[in-house]
Amino acid sequence: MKTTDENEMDLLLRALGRDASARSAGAPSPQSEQEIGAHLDADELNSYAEGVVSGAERARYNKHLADCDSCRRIVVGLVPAASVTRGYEAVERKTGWHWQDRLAALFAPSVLRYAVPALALTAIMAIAMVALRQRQHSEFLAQNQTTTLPAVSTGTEGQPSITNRIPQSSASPGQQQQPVAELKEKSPSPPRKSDVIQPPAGAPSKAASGDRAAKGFLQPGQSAGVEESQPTFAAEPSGAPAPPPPPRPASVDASKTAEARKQEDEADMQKRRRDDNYSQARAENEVARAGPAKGGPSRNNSQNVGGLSSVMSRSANKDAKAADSVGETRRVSGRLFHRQGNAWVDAEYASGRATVNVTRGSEQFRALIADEPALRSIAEQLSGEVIVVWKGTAYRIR
Amino acid sequence: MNNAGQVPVNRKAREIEKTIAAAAARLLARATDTYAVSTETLVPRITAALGKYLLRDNGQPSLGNVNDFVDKLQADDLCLIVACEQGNEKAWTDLVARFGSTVRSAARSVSANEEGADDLAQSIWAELHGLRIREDGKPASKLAYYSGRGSLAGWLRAVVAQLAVDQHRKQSRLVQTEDDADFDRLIQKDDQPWRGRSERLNPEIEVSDKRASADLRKALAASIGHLSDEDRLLVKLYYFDGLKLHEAGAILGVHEATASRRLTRIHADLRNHVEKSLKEEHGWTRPETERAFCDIALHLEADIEPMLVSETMVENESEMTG
Repeated sequence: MKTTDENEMDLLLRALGRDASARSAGAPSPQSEQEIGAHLDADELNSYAEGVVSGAERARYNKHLADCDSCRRIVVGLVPAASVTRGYEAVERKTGWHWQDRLAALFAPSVLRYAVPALALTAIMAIAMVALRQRQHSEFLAQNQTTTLPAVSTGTEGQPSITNRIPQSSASPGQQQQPVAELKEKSPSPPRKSDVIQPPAGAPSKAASGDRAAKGFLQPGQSAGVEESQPTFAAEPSGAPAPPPPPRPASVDASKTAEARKQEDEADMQKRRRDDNYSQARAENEVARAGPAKGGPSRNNSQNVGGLSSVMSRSANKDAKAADSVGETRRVSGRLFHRQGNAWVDAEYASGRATVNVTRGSEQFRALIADEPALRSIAEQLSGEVIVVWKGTAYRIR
Repeated sequence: MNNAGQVPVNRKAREIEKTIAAAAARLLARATDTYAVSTETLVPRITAALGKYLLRDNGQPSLGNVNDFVDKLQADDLCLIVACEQGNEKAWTDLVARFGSTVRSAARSVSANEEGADDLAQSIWAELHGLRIREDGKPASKLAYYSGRGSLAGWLRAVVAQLAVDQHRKQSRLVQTEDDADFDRLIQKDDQPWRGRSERLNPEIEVSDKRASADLRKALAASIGHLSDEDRLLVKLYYFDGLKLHEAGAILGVHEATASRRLTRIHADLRNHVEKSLKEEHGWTRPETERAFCDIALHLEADIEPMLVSETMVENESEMTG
């Protein structure tokens, strides 16, 4: 009801106003100064419009303006202009900020409260990203070095084999010695080195000693040569961190040698591939040489290792062929995998055995890894083709 | 320049004089360019402004009031105008350079065409230069009336608007007879907007309706006259001058929301007053009054809806947000 009343009154007043303005449009209403008092002068009008009048003045002017149409219209014309002037002043004050004010505002506690944690978070993320990238990079580095090794050994009989050790700094001396021996024996077609050295089949005693060494973590005194070679491993200038899969000497026991033996068949295949890689490896050798060559000690050490390897070679002579078959090896989810070409082959896989072919990303693959989460981790950690024996079935994951 | 001189010569007056002189010196110090205006020149000017504004409402101002008043004056503008009055060439050049566009735009806003605006602007500069000679033989420069209280630009706009009104008045006096005829015609047509769709009604009802609306209208006009000055000014600004609520509020120096609340109260006051006067003067009963309000409003709504719908919506929105 109240709203309606108000609306009615609003409409009535509007109509009245329209009439009044229509009437005064033709001529100013004949208002006498006696009726409405003296007109305001320009200074008063301006003071009123700019709002610089006192309360008493304002009341006086209001009285006149309420009744004097002409003065009121002048004020109406002046006020928008006056507010524009005030607006400009406000803008000027705002834009006229001194740079010190801006700086102060930037470091205001209210801003810092949010900015500092945000910056810290960003910094942490950046550091984490750099660290992760470095780790990835180091994985590649380790792989490259393993491929360069054979060529080096062919070029300078055993000497650069030191590069092979770079990723093995945490491996036991017994394990480290083994490849050197192999190199001596089979220099024309050297074995592919593994990041984690699998003890050769015929060296159970060595494996055992490696075991012990691993527990004591690089305890010197395993053999005369090892003592000297170790510091080099630790202080390897290449600075490459430990290889991706940490070596697990504990699991490298004598029983594994049986598995290694099974792979002798595959050794021939590997050899052929190595020959193919020979020329490529030679080229890489040039690059690899630049690293170790810059430090004199590493050269000396390589000679030591050479000496050591000759000692070892006598005892491991018999195992050479078996060791040769040991290619790049990785242990994933408790399974041992050997690198064969582009494929990682489960140590338990017997060559020629029928496989179930599974393509990565396929429905079958998804079903398989859903049932066997361990296979998922294997498939994720090993790139390329993977042959894995799982619960009596051999799967070829492509 | 009158009241201040009449202040009785006593200790208080001397104190005030000293205060004014000190304040004038401060004002000169505030100005970026004094145009070689001296304190001695400035003191009479400031005294005149004090007499016109401060002493008029407050016969016994404190020294603090005086200082406050003078410190709020526009130092740069006042120096420029005083220097112009003294005939300082540089000051005149600056005045024309800085405020030529202000005068021109003000003249354009109150003139019907470009030619009229040019004429008006010319007249303003002539007035400012004091080319006209007053009756007592002295040049009648309007510059003498600038107190420095508001901005010089605003003052110039006010001068232009006043001159335009004066000129309009003179012209309208010349064509008074014609205007009177128009005025009469308008009065004849007065009932038109109030009747609305009444042409559909039968003649008897139309006549009574017409009388009712005329009575109501008279009562409303009278009621507006009974409002307080400020309320009346608000009604005039909002309904007669067609200002927006925030503009009317700006003139009255209040916020839009305050103006809106005030307007609501005014509506109620007016209604009460109209009902009362209709009852007393025409013997209307309350239901009759309500019916008349309702009918007329209904007709008005139908009539003005097409042209006011958008405006009303905008204003209602602003009132609601305000």
